[in-house]
Amino acid sequence: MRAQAIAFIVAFNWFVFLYFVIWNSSYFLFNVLAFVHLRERGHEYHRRSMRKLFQSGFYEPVSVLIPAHNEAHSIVQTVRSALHLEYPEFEVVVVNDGSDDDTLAELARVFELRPMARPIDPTIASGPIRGVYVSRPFPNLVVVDKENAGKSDALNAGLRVARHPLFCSIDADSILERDCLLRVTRPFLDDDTTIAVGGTVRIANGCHILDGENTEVGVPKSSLGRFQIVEYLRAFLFGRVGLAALNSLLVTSGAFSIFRRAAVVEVGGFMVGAVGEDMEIICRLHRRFREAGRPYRITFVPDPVCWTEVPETLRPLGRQRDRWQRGLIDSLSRHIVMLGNPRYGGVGLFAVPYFVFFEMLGPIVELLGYFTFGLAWSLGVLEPRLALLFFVAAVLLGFALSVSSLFLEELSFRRYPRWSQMAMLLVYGVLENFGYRQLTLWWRLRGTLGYMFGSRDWERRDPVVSRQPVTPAERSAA
Amino acid sequence: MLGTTLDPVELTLGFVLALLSVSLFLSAYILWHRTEIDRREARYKELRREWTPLVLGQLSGEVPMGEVVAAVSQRDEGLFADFVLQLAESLEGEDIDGLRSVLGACGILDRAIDDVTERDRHKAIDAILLLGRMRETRAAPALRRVIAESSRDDVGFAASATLAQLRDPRDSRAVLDRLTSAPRRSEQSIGQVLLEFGPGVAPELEEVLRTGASSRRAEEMAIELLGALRHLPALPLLAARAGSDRSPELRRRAVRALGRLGSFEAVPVVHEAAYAAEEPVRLEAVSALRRIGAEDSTPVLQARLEDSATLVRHAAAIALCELGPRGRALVEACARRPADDPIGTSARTALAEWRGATLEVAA
Repeated sequence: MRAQAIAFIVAFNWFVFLYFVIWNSSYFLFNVLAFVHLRERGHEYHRRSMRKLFQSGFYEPVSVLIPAHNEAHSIVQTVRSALHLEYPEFEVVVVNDGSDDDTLAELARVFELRPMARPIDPTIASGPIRGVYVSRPFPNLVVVDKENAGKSDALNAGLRVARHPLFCSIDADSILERDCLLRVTRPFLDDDTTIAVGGTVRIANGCHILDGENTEVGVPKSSLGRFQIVEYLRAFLFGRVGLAALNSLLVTSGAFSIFRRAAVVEVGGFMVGAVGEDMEIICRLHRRFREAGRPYRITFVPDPVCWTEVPETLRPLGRQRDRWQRGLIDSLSRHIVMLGNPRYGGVGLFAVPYFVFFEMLGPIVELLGYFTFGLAWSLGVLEPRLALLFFVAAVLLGFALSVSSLFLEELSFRRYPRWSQMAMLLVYGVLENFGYRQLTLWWRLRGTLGYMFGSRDWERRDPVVSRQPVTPAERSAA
Repeated sequence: MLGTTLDPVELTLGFVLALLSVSLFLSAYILWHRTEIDRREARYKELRREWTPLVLGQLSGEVPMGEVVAAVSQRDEGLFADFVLQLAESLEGEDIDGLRSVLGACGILDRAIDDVTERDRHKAIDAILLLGRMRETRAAPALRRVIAESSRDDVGFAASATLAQLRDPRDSRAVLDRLTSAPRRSEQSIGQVLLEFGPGVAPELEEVLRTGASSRRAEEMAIELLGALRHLPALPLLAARAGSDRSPELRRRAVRALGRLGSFEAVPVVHEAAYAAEEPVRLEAVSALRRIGAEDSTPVLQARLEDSATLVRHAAAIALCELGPRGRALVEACARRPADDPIGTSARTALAEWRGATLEVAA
């Protein structure tokens, strides 16, 4: 029995070693790709005159879709922020998804809504629409009132009413930068085959928000908020940039993404019942276009475009991460056919296996690692020096990844203006490995088990965690 | 965690040391870089305080040019060029000419002209943008060379946009061909660049359609732009394309351009297009008729009220409503059809939308 246990430990160690090498090689690859991309395009993000040159006359009209359920406290500010976007031609479509609070009344009061008739696209299904309204002072603001059926259905209803060739989905409590549409629609103009673009979401906690605009970038007071800044930078600055460079992006943030309407209509709109509708729609688009052999591009704009509040206490943060993990598993399991299938190109051979083996199964492997550690210790075969070194290597690797994302931030956007803020984020890049990382592991594990055993807890959504700016997947960069 | 023949302790230790070195190096670099940026920004602020009264004084003739040149030559000329570009955003006309003289006297424009053909594309783009903003006509030959030779799309685009700002219509053909040959260049951006040439570009665009020597994409753009410029002399050329071109996309664009011209002379061709086999052409024709607003389009639009395509029916109903009481009566009659009749539904929707729009205007 002892011999068998030792044989298991040896085999598992080799497995963990290989897993560790392949996983971190992927991160290294993402880092290199992100570095090349930001170096290549950095001048466009940086130089105002260059941006202006490329932005002038560069546009396709956009419909901004804002699904809202019980968002009376924030909807007016979000709509104001959307109406103030700098873009030559756009409309804002707010979908009131059967709110029980005063969401619709607030909109009607502030924006002077009046009923209107609008052609409703019959090619997409959605729950019953009770009415369509237009604002008197803002003719480009349309409000759709419908029965409650979830975020996907609300997005589909908005899509039925939207008129423009591109549509952008944002959360009801997102703060957008004024020129975000100009920046995030650029890939559609550079490449006709672009069907979806994700934008970068950053943390608004600690920032000074005035009239729906982020006037001063700051860092949150709580440690949980600061850990999340490092996480978000890591996920957005190299995770997504790297995957996008390989045309293997499997998720764009639900808090800010932009799509070619025709492509989403072609795949039947957002899937009602999907836990993570943002990841699911991207998987489906990949699948449809790969199966049809049509050229397409799904990409990502690392320039910060959207600021969002994150939970700063344990309970809601845990629920958020739990739900993200379920969303990841749900989306991947619906499209598992792509796993390792050469028919789906880089998505099938790289992105889906990466997400399944490292992001979806990562928490289980890590848990098994802790179990094996305990087993080896109890059998007296643990070599303390090596165990300690392995632990130090894991911590340093997490730190190195955080530092590299801060390095990319420093080379590209420098949104945290003070020296002290960067120094603080570096410190939190080290500290997150002691406690915070283990907490996120536990929440992800809980999400995995909950999904496997059918718990339906994810349907409870806290207002502050109603967005999905980063997948649980990318959270595990440490 | 167990001993192996690979001596895992040493292996892991090496890995740990490498990680530690990289992390510490990057951390130090970040903090050093931030310090440098802060220092540079502080210096720029200081220089800006010094340069602003000097340059503005020079523009108003109170400060001699020599004093400005002396102040700049002792400092960072790159920063001065950035400063001038920022200043130029709030200036127009004679002041831009004055700034050009200042930059010329400091030798910055000459260096920028040399930099246009630089291999470092960031440097080249910076130079091109500066020359464009300063309307430096001496840069035209270098820009033409870039347009003809550069393999970089962004440098080629910047050169095209800048050459357009110099407004010599003879360059428009080269710019059009360059931009339409880039597969990833959007037509909005191409159009924007070409419109910088101003109305003088129209004869060159007509020539593109007349000779047929350019690519299909260049022809499409030429049609779009002739419409956007509302260049009435191009009506016969556009009408010919709208009526007989083999490409439905080109016909659609020609119909749209005719609509933008807004001339009643275009109506017969657009009426024909309203019966085209392709839905996009019919839809464009109905929109063009709405834009032209000729009352004798009523029967054609009435026929389109029963079009098989929802969008065409909707657009026709809106166009009829806008034509006047007669057209509106036709739509209202259609709207009285049964609830499950798609033609009646389109008419009702369009009518309600049109009424809503009127109410907003009245309010």
